[in-house]
Amino acid sequence: MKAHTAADAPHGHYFVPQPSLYPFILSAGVFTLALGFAQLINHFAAGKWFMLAGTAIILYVLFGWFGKVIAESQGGAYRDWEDRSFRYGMIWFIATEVMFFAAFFGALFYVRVISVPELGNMTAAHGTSLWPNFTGDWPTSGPKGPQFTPMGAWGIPAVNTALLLSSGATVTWAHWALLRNNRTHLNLGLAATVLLGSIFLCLQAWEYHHAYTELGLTMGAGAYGATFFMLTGFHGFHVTLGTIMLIVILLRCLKGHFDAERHFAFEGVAWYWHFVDVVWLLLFVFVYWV
Amino acid sequence: MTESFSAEDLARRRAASRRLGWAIGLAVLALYILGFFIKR
Amino acid sequence: MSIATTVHGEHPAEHYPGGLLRWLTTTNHKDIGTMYLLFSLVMFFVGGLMILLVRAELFQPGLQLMKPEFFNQLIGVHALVMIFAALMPAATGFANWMIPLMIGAPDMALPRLNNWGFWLLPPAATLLTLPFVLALFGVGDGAIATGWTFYAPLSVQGGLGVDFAILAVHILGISSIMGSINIIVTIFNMRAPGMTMMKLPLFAWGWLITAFLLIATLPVLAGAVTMLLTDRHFGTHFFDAAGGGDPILFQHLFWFFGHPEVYILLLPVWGLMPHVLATFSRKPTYGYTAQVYGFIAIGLLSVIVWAHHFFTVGMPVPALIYFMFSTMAISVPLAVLFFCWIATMWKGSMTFETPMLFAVGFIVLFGIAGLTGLVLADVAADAQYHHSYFVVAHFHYALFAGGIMGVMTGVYYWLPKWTGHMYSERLGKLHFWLTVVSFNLTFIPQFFLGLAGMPRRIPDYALQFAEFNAISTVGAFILGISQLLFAWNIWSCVRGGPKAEARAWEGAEGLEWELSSPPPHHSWETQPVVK
Repeated sequence: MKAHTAADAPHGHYFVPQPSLYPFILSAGVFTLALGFAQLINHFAAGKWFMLAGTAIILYVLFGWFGKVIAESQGGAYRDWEDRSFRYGMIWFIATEVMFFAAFFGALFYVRVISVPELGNMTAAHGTSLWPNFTGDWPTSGPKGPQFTPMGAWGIPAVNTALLLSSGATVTWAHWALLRNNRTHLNLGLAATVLLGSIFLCLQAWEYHHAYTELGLTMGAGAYGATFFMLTGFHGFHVTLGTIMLIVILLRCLKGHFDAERHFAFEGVAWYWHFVDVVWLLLFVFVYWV
Repeated sequence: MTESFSAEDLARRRAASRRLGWAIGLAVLALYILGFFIKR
Repeated sequence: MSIATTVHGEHPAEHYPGGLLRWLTTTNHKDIGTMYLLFSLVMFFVGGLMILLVRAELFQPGLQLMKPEFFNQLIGVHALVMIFAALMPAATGFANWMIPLMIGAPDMALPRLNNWGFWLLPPAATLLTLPFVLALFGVGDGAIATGWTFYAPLSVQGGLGVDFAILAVHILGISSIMGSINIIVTIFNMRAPGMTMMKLPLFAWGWLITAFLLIATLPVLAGAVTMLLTDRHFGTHFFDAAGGGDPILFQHLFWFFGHPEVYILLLPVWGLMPHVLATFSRKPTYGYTAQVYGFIAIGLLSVIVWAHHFFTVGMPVPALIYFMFSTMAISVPLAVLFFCWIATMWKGSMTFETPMLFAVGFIVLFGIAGLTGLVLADVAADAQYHHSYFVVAHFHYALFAGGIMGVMTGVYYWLPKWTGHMYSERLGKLHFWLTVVSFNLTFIPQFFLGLAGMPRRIPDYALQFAEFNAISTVGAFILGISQLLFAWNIWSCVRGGPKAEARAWEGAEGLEWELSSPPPHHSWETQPVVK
């Protein structure tokens, strides 16, 4: 916890932005979206229109707000002091994402280690069981769950692991190129990362299709189906966000943004990408493999 | 702003808080010792 | 870097929109802090009104005023409103107002994000309470009726109120996480030159640990209610044994958040106490370092003790013993804090202005919360007290006497700084005594009710509980009505009153008292240097 203070940034005041309506509009968008979602899942006809409107408002703000930030950044408003704020902010944001995934991994470990074995052990432990034929072996959809085939690890998931690991390497390649001011390699590295991420997403979509149509593996397939789809689904959602962010960064690079000293946005997205990469490794080990 | 206090007043309060501290401390100690003699 | 100065300009005050637009668009930590505090005050009365209805129903045995379903909705939404919409925003309001002033920062580190954090709150509060209104028009069956804990399988079976509450919790969570990130970044990156971490004011330290706890636990709550949502609408079986899941899994996930949440509500108050006690004892804070390590120790311990909230659910004995001893271990750093608070007053020239009254009242009443907590932490004793009114009394000593009275301490202490006026000391003292007496009148009987076996969350009770319930209801109504004095005192202090000096209190120390009262719209644009 080294003290970083204004003494390190003697060139003037901290950048405090002018009043902005974007945060308020964003909240209105989030509210509309949530209201629509609550209606949709409770079968009100207006739900999807609310959600559409909410999404539109949020998209408007994302373009406007990030556009403004990029303009400020290009205008030289951010120096070392502000840059450090963004870095700390991104680090602790990723920490919250880690804990979000921890909740679902916690649920996975809980059902695998505690609830499923216990359900299989009822007769031995208590002399009676609602489901005496349930053995408690993993993978399972529970005593009353549907038949399904679990997803094997060494098909598409292994390919996906290779894809994401190499995308971690390509984004680092791009970073080194940026540090050496080699713009061609920077753009190539980023484009390769985007490409690898997109292929990953396509394969993941194909895997879901395969699970639903051929394996009988659905969200309703008990503890296995629930943990499988929630973990891989939220991961896939994060890869989608990461890919979109990488595309934005690629477009900015093509427009000549960033230099060797000042490129927080690039690094923040790279950190995020490495984070989804690490989550995938844990997923591969604990969801697909063991 | 509350009325400011004279130096004597503050000194008197200092002494009072010290006395009260001792009194509370002794009371707690007495309760603690008393506890050893209470049987259910 | 010469461009930088032209971008943000020297006198931005001229571009400020006025009226309502000022509050919708503000990036100023003082404006945002004010909005947080006002929102908190309003929701304090909303949540209070709900529980007064509950106490009115409990005035006599039998069902008089409402159906049990509505009773269930009131208790759950009361808790959610008080925790998420009254106490947490009040603490965040303090942080917004005071941390930049205390550490010599020009503003919070991420001002627009700060504004977003606030403006997420009104939508969330709306979502939480909207089902009450919808039910009036025949849509749905009212708000969430599971209590604030969302326990499965009840919450899986509940009506649309549960969905609204889940989405409200998601939005409140985003708001708190944005606030926490902002506070951490501000404390790490915006301190005045020379202010090392071990010179950081204790209030900022308390909030720093709070922010870390929020970052560690709120996403887990978000995950838990997401699983609840998919169990309700998308066919998953996280909390259903027929699919290999387990309703107890929900309790683990919920309380992994829920227990640290207690410290999230209390750590800002613990950080504020030494400031108030030192000011009115005219002495430096006793044991600064010990208090910092106390905060850190409590923060670490708080995430490993969650299962003491459901000792009776059927856990293996080793788990019970582990959670019992780890819970009791928290009393060690907490006792250190109590010792430091008392030692700060020891041999001090104490004067008893309203904030000091609240601070001393806090120490005594919060002490009762701590001691009854030790009783509940005992697995064998908890089998008797679990889910009884003893628990209700215990956590109201923690969260009303500890949390809300702590917030009142801060409000009276800092009102002169915020408004530039002194509040009415006479009304403040009246408010304190009414609050303390009626609070105890409300909750002491509930300890006895719990010991005698009255269960919580039930709208009716056996005849032998009638007297204590009647006393408790009378106390609750006095408590509720006395809070109008609080609101009136704040209102008249904002409107006018004797001028407050920069150092509003004679013994106050710290950077925040070097600025005028009220401080200029932009303070510490040039950072002070701390020796």
